[in-house]
Amino acid sequence: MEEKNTIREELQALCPAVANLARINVYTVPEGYFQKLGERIVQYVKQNEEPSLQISSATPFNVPVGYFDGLAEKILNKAKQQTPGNEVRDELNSIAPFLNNISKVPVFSVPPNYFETLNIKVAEQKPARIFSFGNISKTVRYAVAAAIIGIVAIGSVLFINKEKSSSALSYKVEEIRKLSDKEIIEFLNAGSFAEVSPNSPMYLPQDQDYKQFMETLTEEEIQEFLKQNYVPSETQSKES
Amino acid sequence: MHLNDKELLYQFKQPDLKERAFTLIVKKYQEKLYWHIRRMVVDHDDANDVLQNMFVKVWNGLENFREDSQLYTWLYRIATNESLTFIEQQKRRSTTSFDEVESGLSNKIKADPGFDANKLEWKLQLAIQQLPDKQKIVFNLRYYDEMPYEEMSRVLETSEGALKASYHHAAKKVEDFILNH
Repeated sequence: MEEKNTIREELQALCPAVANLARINVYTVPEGYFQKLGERIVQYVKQNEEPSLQISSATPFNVPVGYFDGLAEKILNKAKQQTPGNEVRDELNSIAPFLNNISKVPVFSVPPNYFETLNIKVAEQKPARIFSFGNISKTVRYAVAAAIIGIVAIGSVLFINKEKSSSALSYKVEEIRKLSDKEIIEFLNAGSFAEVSPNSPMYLPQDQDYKQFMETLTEEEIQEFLKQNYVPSETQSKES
Repeated sequence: MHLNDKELLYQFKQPDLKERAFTLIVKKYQEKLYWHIRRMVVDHDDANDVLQNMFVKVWNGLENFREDSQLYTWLYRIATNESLTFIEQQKRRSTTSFDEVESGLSNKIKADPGFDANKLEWKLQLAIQQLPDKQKIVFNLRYYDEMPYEEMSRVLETSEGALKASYHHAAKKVEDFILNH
């Protein structure tokens, strides 16, 4: 109100004739204009909306029940089928097309969190000693293998029966030399000394002391043995 | 963090990063290799044993891995060999015939809690078990892993032609089995 008085005083000072005029609204409006104005404005706004916004959100179309369940997977499968250049699928189509209809999703179950908790226990292992065969040709490798087996067998003889005469050792070497390639291959295929019969010249004891003894053999000792006892298979066949 | 194989191999050769790099390699390939092995040996515990063994071999051999072949190929080769060795051991230990060992794998499939004889996916597993071991591997690598013959040739050290022939035979046999059972 104070502000109103200030304005009036201001106007009185500037233009007293105007300040004294009666404050009457000279304009008229249709009767009841303001009563219905709100509704009319709302109606006007609606009429001027984009036509699409006037359509009900309820679609008039129906879809089969459960249509959207697994739709993404079906589309993906179809897309994969139709992907040009899917060599594996195309190939299978020409061989056994029925198999292309089967899902490749794993059917086997895995314990919960198996992959998250997978823990590989590793430990540094002493690498096995490797002995080079040098220039020995492939055709005589079995004979060299036989010689190596001989080392192992002789080692066992030396270890087990140190008191025995050297003739016993020679006998063992001779026995191994007499083995055919076939017998050696069979022995190598057996995969383990443990599987060799105790009656075979290849038989070795499996106790811990023996293993320790074998570990003490130096590379030089083994190489020396190979030089002294290596017999090519051709020579063997002539001898036999 | 996603490191490529070359970076992982480089890190593996650094003593202070070795274990971390190995863990990342395991994490990167464990699922693919697990499923490759599992399809061969069927049982989860067996697959877990084979997977562990193969990664132990990887740990011991990775230092000397020659990078002229892909790590992925090398891992698949070890997993394949370990699976075959495991199956061979099962056969040797078994007092029954080889055929019965094969049917043993089928029985393991049927014993799976989720087994459903009417589902094609399970029939497919039974059909795969009827294949000889080598064909089984070729079929699995091609059908599930979609491995190109060239790569498979490096994994299995077999010519591409032989692999194609093997896959064709295997796929035909599998389809016949499913359609007739």
